[in-house]
Amino acid sequence: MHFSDTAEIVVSKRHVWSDMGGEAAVLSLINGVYYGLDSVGIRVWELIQQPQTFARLREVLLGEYDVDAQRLEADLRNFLTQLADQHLVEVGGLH
Amino acid sequence: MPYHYGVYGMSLCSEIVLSLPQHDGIALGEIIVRAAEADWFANALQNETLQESPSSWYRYANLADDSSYASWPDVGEFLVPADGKTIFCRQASAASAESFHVYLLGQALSFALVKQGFEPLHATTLEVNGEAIVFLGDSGFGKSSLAACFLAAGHRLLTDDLLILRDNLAYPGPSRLKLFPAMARRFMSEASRGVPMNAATRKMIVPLSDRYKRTTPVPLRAIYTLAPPREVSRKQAIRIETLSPREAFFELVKNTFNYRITATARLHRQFNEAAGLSAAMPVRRLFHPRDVNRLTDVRDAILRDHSEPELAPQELAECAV
Repeated sequence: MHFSDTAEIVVSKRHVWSDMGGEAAVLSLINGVYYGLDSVGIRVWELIQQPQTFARLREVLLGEYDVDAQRLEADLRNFLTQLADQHLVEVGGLH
Repeated sequence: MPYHYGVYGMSLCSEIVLSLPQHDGIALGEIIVRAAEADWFANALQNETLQESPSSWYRYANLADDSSYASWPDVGEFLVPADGKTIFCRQASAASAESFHVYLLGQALSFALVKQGFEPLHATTLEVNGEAIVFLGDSGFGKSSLAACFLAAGHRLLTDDLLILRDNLAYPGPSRLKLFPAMARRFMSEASRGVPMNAATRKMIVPLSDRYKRTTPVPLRAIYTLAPPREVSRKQAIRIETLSPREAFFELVKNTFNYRITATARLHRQFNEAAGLSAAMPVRRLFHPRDVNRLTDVRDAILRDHSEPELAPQELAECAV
């Protein structure tokens, strides 16, 4: 999935999740698929509890993690695509 | 109803005779077992499409009124209405009573339990010093063989296959163990009383005498999940590792007894129960050799681990081959 900088991402309403001591599990109530999150995944998940543009997410994460910008952007796209495939996020303003 | 039994903490009012203790005291809930004829089932299934399970040999349908239907060739068929308060059943003419009861008190009952708000686990559970040790794992992972080894040492079986946990108590199931003949002969003096389970497996249903069976609930003490056979070998060192809460959560979800009911409310409840249990109770993964001659070593390692629960990820190097 391609995310433009202005694509707006927010968690789907139809899920449950639980923080489990630095990791987390999420269940999509749409398709019954469970999903595990590591500590970085949890941070993204927390950020998209409220709608965030892709550019804003990238900016916040670059400020928090010592990581190459291109690598972060690729990983973030991959992660968000997986969440979208499992109906765990809603994406608006796709271009 | 002529017969009143107790199993998994539930009161079972039955039209048919079952090999269960009489109901005694307060129950978590009630389930009625009614016998029905083939015509009755055929009528209930009109205009319904049955699903064949690719990984198993049973047929299943979620009916328009949210009843659940399941059947096993040469065993029997079952229908559980949406409220989970009744199981309609029919024993196939070719089935032994023991085989039919395994499916009635396992798969069929799991539909009733889930519909009544319980979350049964696929587990074999032993009583050790008045507390429950739970073994999770798919069929073929070695739960029953390990259980037989514990019974041979004087411990008692709480349940084989289906486990109900409620308020940190583990509830007893039927007094039988499903075992391969070689394991039964090796560990059980009652092996000769076993009967074949079904045509698809060599496992036997071995009824247990009182000395092998715990019939009242006991507090939950420990949960072990057995490593899959593909991850271990005959020369596998005995190893016990504590899982992270997230790993434990996924093991509990993976070992739910009934995958068929996927209504949102059920999924939500299943999530919450697994999250609650994984937070309250460490889950440990047991790697053990696929060698019957090492089972007593495995049992002893678990008993040591059980007696020292605060020891975190543990390598039992002394048991390495």
